Amino acid sequence: MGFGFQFDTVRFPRFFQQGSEPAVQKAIEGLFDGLAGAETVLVTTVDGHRVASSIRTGRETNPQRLAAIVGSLCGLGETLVRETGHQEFNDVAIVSKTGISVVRRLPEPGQRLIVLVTADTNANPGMVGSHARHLARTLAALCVAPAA
Amino acid sequence: MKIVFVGPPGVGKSTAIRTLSDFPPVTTEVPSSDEERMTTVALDFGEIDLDGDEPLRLYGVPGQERFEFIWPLVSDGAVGMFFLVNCTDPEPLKVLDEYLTNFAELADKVPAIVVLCHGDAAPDSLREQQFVRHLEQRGRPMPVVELDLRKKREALYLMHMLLALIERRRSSEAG
Repeated sequence: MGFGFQFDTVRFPRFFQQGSEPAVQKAIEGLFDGLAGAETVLVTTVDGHRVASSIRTGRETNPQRLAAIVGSLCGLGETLVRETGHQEFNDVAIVSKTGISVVRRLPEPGQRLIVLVTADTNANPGMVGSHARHLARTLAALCVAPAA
Repeated sequence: MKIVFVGPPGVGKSTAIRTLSDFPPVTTEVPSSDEERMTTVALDFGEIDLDGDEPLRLYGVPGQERFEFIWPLVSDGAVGMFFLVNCTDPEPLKVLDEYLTNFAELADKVPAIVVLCHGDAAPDSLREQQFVRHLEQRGRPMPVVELDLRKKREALYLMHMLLALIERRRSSEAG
């Protein structure tokens, strides 16, 4: 059961500029237009709360639960980067038999947010990663900088 | 041997592992969206070698219920566990009950200790004996101690206490 663009009315204004809902919606729905097989776009906080989402899959999906999993994945990805002595976590890609998921942290000033993009096998991992990167940049430009 | 630290956000699970671990622990802390503090989103991991034999592997789980999917992944294979309680919580028994229910399967199998934290900040809160009675009434008796897990000596005391329970359980199962 898919459902279109939704956002959390409490959390959204904490991270995005005032009045940016239409632009965020356009960016998220634009991904579906440009990426064949796209199923889910989910924007979450780094601590696993859903901020916005658009889900177009026939399967039952719980965006809140998905948001927590995304928060954990991003946290583990960043920890792995640190532990291996590398720098600047970009994304986590998970490829399965039936689909691809990419978890990507937004660049500044949206660094408190993460985006998840999932797609079926009509998309290839490189394309999903590329679209996730582009979406992360677009969404970051609509974010408010965190208080110092 | 794997030991798991369980309890609500901000109670001190990450701090306890940081205090005990022989090396800087692996952490997955990020800024909390709702509070001015850091919060764990996947796990904490540290190790301590108490007797030169087998190191104890210390794992902390995220406290928020939305991370319940990761609780069994992290706690699988544990031989002992700690339930940390925040004494400044307005309803500490209720919060403890929630974690006892969520981790009942593990608590049925391995020795566990309830640790009362932040008691210094809550002088009027419930004390150890009230928790002991509550746990007995629930049919889940276990030791209750009030400690400051920022202090290595107190944290080590706690670890030795749990190890003694694990040893006793193993002896009784073998005998």
